[in-house]
Amino acid sequence: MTTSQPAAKGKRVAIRQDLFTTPLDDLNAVHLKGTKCNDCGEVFMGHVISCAHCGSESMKGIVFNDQGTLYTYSVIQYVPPGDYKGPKDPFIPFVEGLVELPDGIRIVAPVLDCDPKNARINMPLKLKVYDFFKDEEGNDVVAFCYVPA
Amino acid sequence: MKKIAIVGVGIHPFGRFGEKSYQQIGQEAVRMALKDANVAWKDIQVAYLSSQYLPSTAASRVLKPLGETGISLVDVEAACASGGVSVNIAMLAVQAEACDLALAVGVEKMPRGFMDPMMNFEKWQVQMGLSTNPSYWAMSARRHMHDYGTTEMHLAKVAYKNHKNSVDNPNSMYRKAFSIEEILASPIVCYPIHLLEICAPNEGAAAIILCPAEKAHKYTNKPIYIEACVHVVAAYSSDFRVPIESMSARIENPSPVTLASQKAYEKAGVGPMDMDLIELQDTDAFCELQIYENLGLCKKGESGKLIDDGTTDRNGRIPVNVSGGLISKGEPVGASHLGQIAEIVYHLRGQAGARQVANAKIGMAQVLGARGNCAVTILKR
Repeated sequence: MTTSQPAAKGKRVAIRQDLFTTPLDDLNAVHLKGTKCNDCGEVFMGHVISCAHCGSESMKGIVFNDQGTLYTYSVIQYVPPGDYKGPKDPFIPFVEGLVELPDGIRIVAPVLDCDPKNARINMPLKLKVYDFFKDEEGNDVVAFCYVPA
Repeated sequence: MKKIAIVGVGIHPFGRFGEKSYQQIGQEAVRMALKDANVAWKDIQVAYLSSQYLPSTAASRVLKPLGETGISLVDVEAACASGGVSVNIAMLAVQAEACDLALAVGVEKMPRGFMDPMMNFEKWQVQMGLSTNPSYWAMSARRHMHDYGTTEMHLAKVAYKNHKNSVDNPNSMYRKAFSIEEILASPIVCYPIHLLEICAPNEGAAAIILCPAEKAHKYTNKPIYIEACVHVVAAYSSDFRVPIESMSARIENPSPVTLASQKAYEKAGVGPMDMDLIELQDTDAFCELQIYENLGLCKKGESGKLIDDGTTDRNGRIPVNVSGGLISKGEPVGASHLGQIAEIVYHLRGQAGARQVANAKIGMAQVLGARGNCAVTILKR
């Protein structure tokens, strides 16, 4: 669920359901949401109803820490296949990272505002939530990435 | 459980064949396997066809033109491990005494270039640019390099070995040796993986015919026995492969390759060091190194040393990918494991020509793909 902005042409919509805290008005105040298993403590991105580790259905919603570190990464040097919404003309190579959060999860995410030459395993990162592209209805589609902290 | 023998194998070379249909490609492999087992199509009592990129009912599209028999023709899909599943259930059908002669065939004709990312990824992953398949392998490789000191040279040596091996394999797509320098000078697909260190999706087929071991000599004087055929899907958070969105930072489960191979070793009563040859999933050169460790050929972190000391060379203690591997053959996904099995059968029968591993008695085939689908088959003469 997303909150519409008053008096805007379009509204802000999330690129993926149940991943962002709401409202989306002030993107600096938006965090990633997850689900934690009350039995084994494993955490998952977004909303899940059962634990893929232990099978428990006793789950609670959590908000992830914004801070993380770069567990590993690769550099995307060519336009990704399919309907990529980032800059294509010209394409800007970017770091794709596996970002470890203190919550006990590693998330695959773009690591932006970071020259691929400067990326290092274990470098500190922080979440950035931003307007990524406009959909057909003129809505701003909100995505996430990590940037050097 | 009843012991099962392979009494016929057939392979259509892997490569690109223009307008040639997947039906033709598959039928050629099946006809070759039938001939090899001295049986007719009407003798087959059940058939399982593995593919990932063919349309629905591919099994009947490929096999019905061989003649009306009224038998069950079943489609099977488990990503890169699809062939492991068709063999496994063909074996189970014979073990259950539902039939005496079963066919397992893998057929593929894949679109060129990158696979359609929407087959694997969620829309948001594609939009955010997280749909580049090799980047996940590259991320695993980079962390391994960081943790264990594995180098670009180790990866290049894997590619060097496999390309060199491919020269003697007429079923391989590429049959050209490359120097280490040429490999390292080829374009980087995703650091540390170079173009000459990665496999291409392509076309091909392979087929095997199975029967109870006690009846094998009716069909062949060189039966090859299936000591184990195991398919698993990765345990929770144990495999970093597409289209994964996150991994646990708390749990370390054994990899699907570890899981499948341990089960297979137990069933076969053998260990990794007993193998005379291994065909494994070198989707990219790093993948081969990682699988050395997960099959138990060496300890975690020591795969670089294993390629350095020549253990897996054609003349080494345990030759790996004497066929040239996926890096040279290409990967027609649904046919890949059946192709590995055909290769090992030829070696165990002493029919592998110039690339023959001398006096091979036992061999292992392994595949691994999307969502941690993994299959391991152990064959013995």
